[in-house]
Amino acid sequence: MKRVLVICEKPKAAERVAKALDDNGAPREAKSLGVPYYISRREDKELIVVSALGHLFTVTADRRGWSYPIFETKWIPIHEVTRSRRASNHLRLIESLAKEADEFVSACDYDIEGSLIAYNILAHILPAERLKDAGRMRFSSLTKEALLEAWRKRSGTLDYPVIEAGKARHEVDWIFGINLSRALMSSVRRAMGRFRPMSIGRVQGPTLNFLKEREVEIRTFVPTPFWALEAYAVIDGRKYRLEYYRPYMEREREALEIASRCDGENGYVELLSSSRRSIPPPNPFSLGDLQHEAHRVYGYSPTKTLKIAEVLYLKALISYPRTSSQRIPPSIDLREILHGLRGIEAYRELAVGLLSRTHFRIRQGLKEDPAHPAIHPTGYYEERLRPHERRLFDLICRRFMASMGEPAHTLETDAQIEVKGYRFHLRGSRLIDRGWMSIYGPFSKYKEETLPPLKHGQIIERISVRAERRNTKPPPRLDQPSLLKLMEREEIGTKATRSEIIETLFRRGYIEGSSIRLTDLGLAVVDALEKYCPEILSPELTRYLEKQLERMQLSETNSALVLKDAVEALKPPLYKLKERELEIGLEIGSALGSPSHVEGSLGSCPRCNTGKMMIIWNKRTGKRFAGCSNYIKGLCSNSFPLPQRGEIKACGEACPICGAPLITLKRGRIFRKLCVNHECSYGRGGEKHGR
Amino acid sequence: MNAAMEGVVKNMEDRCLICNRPRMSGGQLCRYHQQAYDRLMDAFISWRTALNVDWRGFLEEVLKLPEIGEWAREVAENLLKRAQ
Repeated sequence: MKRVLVICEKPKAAERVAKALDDNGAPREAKSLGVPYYISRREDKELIVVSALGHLFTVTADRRGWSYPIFETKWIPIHEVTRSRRASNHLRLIESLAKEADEFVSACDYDIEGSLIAYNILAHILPAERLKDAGRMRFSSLTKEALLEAWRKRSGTLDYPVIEAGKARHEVDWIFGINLSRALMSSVRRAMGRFRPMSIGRVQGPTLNFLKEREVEIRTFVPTPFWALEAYAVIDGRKYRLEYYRPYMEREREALEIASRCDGENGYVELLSSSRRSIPPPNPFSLGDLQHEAHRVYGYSPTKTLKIAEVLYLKALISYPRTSSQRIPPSIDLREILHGLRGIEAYRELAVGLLSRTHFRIRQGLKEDPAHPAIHPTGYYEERLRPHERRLFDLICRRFMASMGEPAHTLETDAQIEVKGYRFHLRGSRLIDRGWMSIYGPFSKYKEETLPPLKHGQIIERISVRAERRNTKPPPRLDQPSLLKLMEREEIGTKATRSEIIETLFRRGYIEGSSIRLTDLGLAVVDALEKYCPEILSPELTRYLEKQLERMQLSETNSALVLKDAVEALKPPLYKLKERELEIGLEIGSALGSPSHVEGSLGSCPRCNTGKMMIIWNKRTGKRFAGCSNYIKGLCSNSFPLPQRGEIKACGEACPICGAPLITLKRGRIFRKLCVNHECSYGRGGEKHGR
Repeated sequence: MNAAMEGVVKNMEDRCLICNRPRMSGGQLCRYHQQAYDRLMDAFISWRTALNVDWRGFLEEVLKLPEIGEWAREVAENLLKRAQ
């Protein structure tokens, strides 16, 4: 009997594959080195189904030591880097099982990473002549039907163009990441004399730059006033809001004049019009759409949504979630899925309604993914779902069914009301046919505004009008889903890596908060890179490399050329960084509280009256104090200890008691105004210095 | 004071009036505070048209608004102090 070694990406997937491929649906479970694997019988073959743990190999430098630049890489087992015994055991088990196998099949997720995971393992354990006979199963969900179909249609070779693209992507990202991150860390170490983990890469750079542009926009924002007319009318005992035909006015006088003329006056319905509007059903979810919607509806971060979606995929409840497609191809049997959903109490009625139609039509989005369809339910259900899994599953099911729904229709009514020659509008919107919204239910965004029955020429009595002053607002801060959308629109990163990139920026302390705010450190990193190597912040470079990697998948270019291109693109900015390490380190160090930097002036020195008192950080102790700038000229050695915690800013005033500069000390939300002279009593309530 | 510190202290004369960032050449502010200053100047034109306020009145009013950006606030505070 022939033995086939089937390699899956994760243990849960291996269990599903083994069950699906076993003739009786009951594979034998075995365990070795603490790693489970499965033995299935399929026709005349014995299938040994074993799993990896995601990537079992990783890129590293081909030489030892902490230095840069490094442009030569090699792939090694990941446990040699992480010291993970579990990863080591998985690899050892696969190696030993491979010795008894006659055939090899990759059943990892059908995407770049999945293809690469299986390839790296097989390339490690097989000689080249046997590697070329290894096969590949391609599937978009882990249901029995999908896996059997994938087994029947498995290819006789691995998908080499995809593997080459995957290898090149890892190597390019590694080369960019390690060199640029080491350049930053080395700069900071040189300037501050201490190590701090930092990172920057070909996607992190442009992402951070987008955030910086928004941050500058917000921090330099100056509001300007404008006026809007707030008008209300009471009709049949209910209050309705009227809109003046101009949404805003720039002059106060004009707004006040109209308000005073119209307030308390009667108006009449001059024109009445209504139109029917059709709202088409939404398209099924791509990963980006799902992450955005899950954040809107449940407040889940993109990373959390992806994790939950992966769990649902491994339970074979939904299709593969790492997809950028918004389309469901004709090969997917919609009727079959709806039959499955009919078995779930919550969707029974909706599924029956859709199944009663003579033909099925699904709203297709614009984006396509050659490997996978849009995210959709498989038609299976498991009772034992955690609350957040159940919630996301519900969202996916309803969206899928809603995309098969009929358009919704609203009746939009606009009553033009004239008051003393000024034009106001009373607008309403009423849902006359819920269509797909009845399926999407609580997740629909539509808000109804009903109007009373109105007639042409009808008098509207005593309309209240007042001018209200408002101020322009700064652009909103980006949150994680909107940043994800921005990255998607700018074509930087991949659907699988974008949320990880954002997480890394948080972890490094470059950004903070749910409404993302760039920290001083993040700003200092962008500033330094912008000054010395702006290429790293430009989305052009990373976009170009993405295009090259995509061309590789189509066999239009090869990995050697792409890697050469990437290295050539990286060399100029990297050498510039290396040359200016100290300056860059000092700039970034200032945001980290560098021990050797001097902050702005606090005010005039009370002793010499010509120097300025500066905040100086002692390089040895890391503590701050106020020192006279004339010290360098040997003219004055005046200094004061300063509180070591909290943010210190100059007040721009001299102390009325001793004449030394006054400072504000901010700790959390508490501000204190005190004299820089620690011996002076101004604003001091037992504050200790120099601690 | 060591040589590195001397360099740093020399450098401090090229620092922004408000923060620790380097000054723009020929100016007294760093690029961000300068940008905030430019936006204050632009906004003043709109404020003057809308409310007929003078420069000082504008600064006092704009500082009361929560929408004002952090850097714009610092510049406005500094300008107001000088105006006083």
